[in-house]
Amino acid sequence: MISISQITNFLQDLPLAILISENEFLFPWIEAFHVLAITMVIGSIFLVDFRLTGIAFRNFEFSTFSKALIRITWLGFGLAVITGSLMFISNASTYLNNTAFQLKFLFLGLAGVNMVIFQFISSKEMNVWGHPNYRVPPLAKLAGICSLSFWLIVVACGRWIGFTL
Amino acid sequence: MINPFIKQLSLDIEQTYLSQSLQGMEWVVAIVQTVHILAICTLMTAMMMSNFKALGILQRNHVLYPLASALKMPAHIALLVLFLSGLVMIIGEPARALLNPVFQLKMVLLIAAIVCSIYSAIAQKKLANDFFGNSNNQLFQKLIAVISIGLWLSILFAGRWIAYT
Repeated sequence: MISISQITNFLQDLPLAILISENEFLFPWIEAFHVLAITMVIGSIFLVDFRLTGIAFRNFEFSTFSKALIRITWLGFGLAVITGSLMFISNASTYLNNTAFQLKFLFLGLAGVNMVIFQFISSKEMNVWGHPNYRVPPLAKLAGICSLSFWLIVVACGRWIGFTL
Repeated sequence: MINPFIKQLSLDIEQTYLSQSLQGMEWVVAIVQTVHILAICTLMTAMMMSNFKALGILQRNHVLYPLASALKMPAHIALLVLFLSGLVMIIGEPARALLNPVFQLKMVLLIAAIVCSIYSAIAQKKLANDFFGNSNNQLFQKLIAVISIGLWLSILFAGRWIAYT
């Protein structure tokens, strides 16, 4: 059976991974684009979460507002996955053993689960409460609070990785 | 060549009690950097919306069109947060920031971006009052918007490159 360390070693030995880790310009550029991706993801998700929790933007119709922003979220997320994967393979085993990295992925997973729960349970009757200035039900509000908290922790853990590698 | 005034300023800051305390508290720097990133997310979202509006990408009938105006106040708050968190980072590591050519470039770009944003805000207000709108002015405003997008992206990239120079 293939072990995790064999997989990480395989990834680290890929020519692309070696190129990223050895080239002094590649890693910083990939990281810079990763930050750009984060601004797209967080910027768009927080706007939706602020609307959902009622902190701001209550005069926007929820479903059209979130639909317009979700494209930016997915575009940013796609870029984050690509750039994140490139950074990961350059030093796979170190990242995998890093607590901040593990926590980041735990909370990324939780944010994903929260999104699925919202999609199938909390967003019920969205065509009613989604109208501008309507009262958002507690369950949907909770989904917004959880999303805000999880993404905040993801960003904090992402930054913490740089201090613990 | 490093400006002797900046070098002396960096040395003076380094010897302050606050700077020496921050140097021993890595977790404070990590938290401040996380806050800095979140403020960047807010400011970038606001600036992109405003510039997309000026470029005509966000049409009047688009659901996100009013967002450009709604994000003005959060953008001002984000700028203040960026200034304060940036200040803490400079005090924590003055030489890494003040003597770094990429940091100096970032500050020049930041001033240029703020000037562009102020000009754009004034021009958009004028355009809103001028029903027949001069097409030359509109073209110039679009040019400023493109320059502004370029400047904000460069600032974002420069911020990450500070760590590598």
